[in-house]
Amino acid sequence: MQVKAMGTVLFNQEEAPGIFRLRLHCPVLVESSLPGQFVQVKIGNDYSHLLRKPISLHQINRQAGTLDLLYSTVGKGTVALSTVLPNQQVDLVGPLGNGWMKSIAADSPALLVAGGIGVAPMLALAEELVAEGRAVKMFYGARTQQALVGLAEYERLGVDVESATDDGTYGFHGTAVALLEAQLAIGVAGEIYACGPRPMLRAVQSLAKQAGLPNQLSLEEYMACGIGACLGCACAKSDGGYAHVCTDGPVFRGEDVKL
Amino acid sequence: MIDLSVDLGRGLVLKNPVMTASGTFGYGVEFLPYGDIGQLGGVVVKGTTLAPRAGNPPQRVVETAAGMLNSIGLQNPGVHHFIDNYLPQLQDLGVTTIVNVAGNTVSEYCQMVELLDMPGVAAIELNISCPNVKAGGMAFGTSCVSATEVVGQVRQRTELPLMVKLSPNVTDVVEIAKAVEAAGADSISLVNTFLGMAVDLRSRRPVLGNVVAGLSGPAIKPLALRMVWQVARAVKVPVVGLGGIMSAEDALEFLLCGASAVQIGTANFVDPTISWQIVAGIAAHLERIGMTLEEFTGSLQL
Repeated sequence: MQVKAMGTVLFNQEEAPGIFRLRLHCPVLVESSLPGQFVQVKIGNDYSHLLRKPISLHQINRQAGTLDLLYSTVGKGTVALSTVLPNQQVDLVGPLGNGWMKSIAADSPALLVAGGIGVAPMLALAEELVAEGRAVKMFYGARTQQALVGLAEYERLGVDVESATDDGTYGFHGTAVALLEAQLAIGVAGEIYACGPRPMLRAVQSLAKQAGLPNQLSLEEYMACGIGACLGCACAKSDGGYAHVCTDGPVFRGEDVKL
Repeated sequence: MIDLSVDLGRGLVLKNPVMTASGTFGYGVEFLPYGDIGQLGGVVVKGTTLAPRAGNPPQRVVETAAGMLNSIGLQNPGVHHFIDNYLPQLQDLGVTTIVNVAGNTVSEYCQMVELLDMPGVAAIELNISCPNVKAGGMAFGTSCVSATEVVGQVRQRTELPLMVKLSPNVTDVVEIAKAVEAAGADSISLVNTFLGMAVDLRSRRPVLGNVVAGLSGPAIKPLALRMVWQVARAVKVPVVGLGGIMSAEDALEFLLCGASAVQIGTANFVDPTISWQIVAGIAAHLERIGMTLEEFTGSLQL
């Protein structure tokens, strides 16, 4: 059930240069939140950041009533969000979107592919998959070693993480897609869950198609309302017309969208 | 609570002067988690066309200084889909439903108002001001001749209350307002969005897929307020004010300048509960100052 509610900041800390993790206490919103969903965050009380910013749920803790957001300070709004302090209130609308879809190949391993801040919706997903007893393998790429966030958390969960950096400072010198491609080439199969920049998602979509593997892609698009009213966050559908990232997504089956 | 009802002509009586603006409130049902949409003065549904429209290529929206640009391009499933799938639900919820219609031709406007003449439709808002489509839309609303033509033709085909939504992208909005009044409009709503644009210096490309787009939000409020004031002085039919209303105070300013009712647009994206808050805020203000809505409307002291 969607709600507009205030979340209390528990911490808002820089995990890597320009990447912050914000933990909010907001039981009424957390109650119905699912991995892969997002919240619309209001930043400030004046008109300098007019529209809410859609940010995906990084971690959901129902018992504690908390949700974590992982975001990168890419614009004025997220830079302002990074200055919010513990005990302050943040105005939230959510949970929004459909989240990751139920597995269609539950007996196969889950292959998570994350690029850059595209790692944001992966922690909650990995926790859910591990709890379901799935084998989880993650290919995680970032610009540089410092920009890889939360590796220890995935390892603690028992996720088999393979990292890549664009500059070769850690793990494989290259991209997460190249790691996935290498695994598919040696016959690794499974269900793919991906989030990252558009070119990365396009590559994952095409690799998954060649290998005939089910794949879910979490998309990002500029949004106004986040609840299906403005029709701003359009994404072309494979069979013509447009889907909306907020209410039809943000997670889509790879074969359903034209990227 | 104080009586907030308002008569917009030809039997269109609203519970209160707060409607939601077309294109910012979907079909109303998207906002069910946030309030009882039957308690709003009216819900003006998403711009509806005869045939379904896919809309413009992305990117479609972007934030600007104290505002936003949109170029949705009238994406909608068409008037038949609206009648079959949304109207019954809105009727069940007791919503005062106002259907915003947009056509490529005068004949399309006429066909749509004839189709919509049915229980559950409280009024038509004639959209002659959409800036984001190639044919029709704003083209009808930027000349007195074409505005008169489309309003006059539609008037002959329906007894439904007709609200005509004007574009601010004209030299003299008062002239257009007088023309649509003479052609049979029961009320006039203004303003639609101002044509604007945004570019990306790094890529040297337009930010939005349609290049140009409609500007809305608090940035346009002073412009809209001025136009509403000018039109309200010049016509006898009720005027509905919109453009950057973010709060009850903003709404009251439009009423003060002569608007009989208001529409809430971009603010619905910022706070999905705002339209209900504005209804309550108007009532509280009028009670505090001891004026009725009728006394307050147009009471600007010059």
